[in-house]
Amino acid sequence: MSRGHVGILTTYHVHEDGTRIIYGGAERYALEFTRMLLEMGYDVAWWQIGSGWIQEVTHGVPLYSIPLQEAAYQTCPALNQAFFEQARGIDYAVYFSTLLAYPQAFERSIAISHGIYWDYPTWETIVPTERHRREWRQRWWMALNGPQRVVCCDTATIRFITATWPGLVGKLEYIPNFVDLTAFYLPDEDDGERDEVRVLFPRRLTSVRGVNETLAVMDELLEKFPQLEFYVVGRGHSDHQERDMLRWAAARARAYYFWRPAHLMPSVYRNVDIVLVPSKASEGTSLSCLEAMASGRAVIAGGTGGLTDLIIDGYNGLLLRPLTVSALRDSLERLVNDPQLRRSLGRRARMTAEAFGLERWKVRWQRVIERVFHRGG
Amino acid sequence: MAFVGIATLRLLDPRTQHVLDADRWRHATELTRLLLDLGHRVAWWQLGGGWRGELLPAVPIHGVLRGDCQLLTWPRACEDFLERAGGVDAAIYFDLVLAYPQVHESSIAVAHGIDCDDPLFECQLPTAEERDEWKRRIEMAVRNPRKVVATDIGFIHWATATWPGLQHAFEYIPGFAIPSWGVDRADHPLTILFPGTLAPEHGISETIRAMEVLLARHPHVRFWLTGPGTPAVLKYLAAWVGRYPGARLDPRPLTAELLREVDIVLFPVKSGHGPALACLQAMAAGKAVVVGYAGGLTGLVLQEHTGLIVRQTADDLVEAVEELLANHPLRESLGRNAQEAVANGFALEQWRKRWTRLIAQVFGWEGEFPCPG
Repeated sequence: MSRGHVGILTTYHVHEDGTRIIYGGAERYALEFTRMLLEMGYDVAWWQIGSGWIQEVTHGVPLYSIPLQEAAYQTCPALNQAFFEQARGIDYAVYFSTLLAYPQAFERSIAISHGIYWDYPTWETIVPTERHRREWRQRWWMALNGPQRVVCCDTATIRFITATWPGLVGKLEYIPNFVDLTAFYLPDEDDGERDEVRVLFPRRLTSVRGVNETLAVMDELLEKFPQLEFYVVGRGHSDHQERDMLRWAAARARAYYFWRPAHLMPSVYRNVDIVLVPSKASEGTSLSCLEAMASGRAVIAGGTGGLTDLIIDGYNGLLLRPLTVSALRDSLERLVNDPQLRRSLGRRARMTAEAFGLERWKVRWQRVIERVFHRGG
Repeated sequence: MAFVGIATLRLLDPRTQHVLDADRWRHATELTRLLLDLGHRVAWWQLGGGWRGELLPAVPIHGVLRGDCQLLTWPRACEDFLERAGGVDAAIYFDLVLAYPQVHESSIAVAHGIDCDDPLFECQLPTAEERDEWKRRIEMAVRNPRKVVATDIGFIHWATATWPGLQHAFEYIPGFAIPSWGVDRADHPLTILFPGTLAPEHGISETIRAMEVLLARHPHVRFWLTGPGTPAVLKYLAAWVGRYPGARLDPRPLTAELLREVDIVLFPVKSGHGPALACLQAMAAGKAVVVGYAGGLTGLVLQEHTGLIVRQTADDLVEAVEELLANHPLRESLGRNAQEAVANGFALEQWRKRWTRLIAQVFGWEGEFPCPG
């Protein structure tokens, strides 16, 4: 017997024309979240922006599209309203991004924040004047007020919200992201016994993910260390970017560029020694970082957003704040020269990742869902 | 040898000259020791009516800066420091707010945490105009020095999300602990300790409500309160502990001996600056710590690996403590991991290395890293 109907509003789970599945971190989160609700006995349906088509998120879970595209100040009030009208039969609602809860939210509802994305300088091109920024903040404040609980994937977001609106502290709940510990695991000891040192950059080819600093460093270090191999495994936002990356790798010995679907990434992590997650901004409790940690790799991460909830500098990885070419170069050289340090950071990273396993994530979520949906908060 | 002047609002009470905050005093002392070990001369300036004290032998504290405050900033004290400490080669603003509106040309400021996350902040600055002006002044204080050291990563998150473009303004140097505090465990009944300031922002109200439930359910458990508090709060709590055989109010400093006698340490900080050094010391001693979202403690604790991070409500505290009481292996593993995290990530020696590197980079002073004294 169903425990109730849950409606979830997102912007895009599938490309708005309905033809292409987006498969990033948010979509993986969406899938696991849906599976968990089904396991708990709920009926689930999703809504997103689109031309009116209907698809499925997973078997038996419909994804309805709403033909609206308004996005003033990063909000979609018309989408919010359409969801409110179309999903009237639901018992509980989840807003998959906090701003989707503006201007109105279902009575029993939860919003999810996937991290701070407004800490990058180009953010000011989106809200270019103080008037715009005020309006954006006002709408966000309304969005945060609507749902009964706001689940944040990192404590950075919680600190920002409470420093901006101290009265909202009671709404906030910290549930860090997850890693599938059965897929990502520490390889056998002898797997790591080789002469070469393999460095992996498993992120999108964007400046905010530190790709430019990474390439500048690798340019030098590939020359300096003949035992070094460098792997870039991530998509660009355009064919042009990916072509440039291919050219860069082709021009260097021991540099490789390719990409893999998420289900093939475990073996990529298992076959490298050092993983770079040098984000400069817009970061939550990164799935890539957690996957590298679960695979027992030594991680070098930027000290931004949720990465600081995963890594303590010198204990289970190296954390760079601020992220500069020289800091990245120094850290990477240190790890290349010190296999013992790589091993100890990797071992502790794996131990840390065990606290962020998928099953624990579900337990944390189930506790919140029980409180909000069945005990009124 | 260079002469370093350090400005602070208060290390000592401006009127009575008593130490105000044990964490700040320790932080100030270690920073001074490091500068002395690097071969420099150090003097401190703080708010006060003209007295002189000492932080360490030959390290004066001049209590001479004017204390009048405007919109939670101290522009006159900032001016006084620049005038009176004119002969210094470099300056450290031990309170970020003193770096407004002007700074010594060779300077570092220290941000200890977020000041505006308390609901009462809006009582202090009740209008939007006042809060905007305060924020503008803080932005100036962040932009003025060559580098801002944040001891609380949350401050960097807040500042860079409030003013994108400040990515390179900050250096994160968290607090420190002495790993050797991780000592043998004495045999004793299960004991819970609240070592923070006995004040609402440190979560004392929620802790008391939680402990009323827990002590009723678990009469064998001991509960100790050891932080400082106002006379009124101490009087109330003295009466409160009288109702529970296992409860004790004993405001004494946090020491290795005290930590040896406890199992779980609570830091449910709700706002402001948290007792980071005390938290790290409890972790170094291998204790299971429970921390709130605020006060910079989430930058020290990895959720369910080196401690528990909880919402600062009585219900959440009860749930977390009961889990720890019932699950001895979890308590043990949190404590063990916390000890290892402190030894590798927050040891005093690492803190000195981080500061030494920064000083060399900002002030341009070369020098070998000195061993801790």
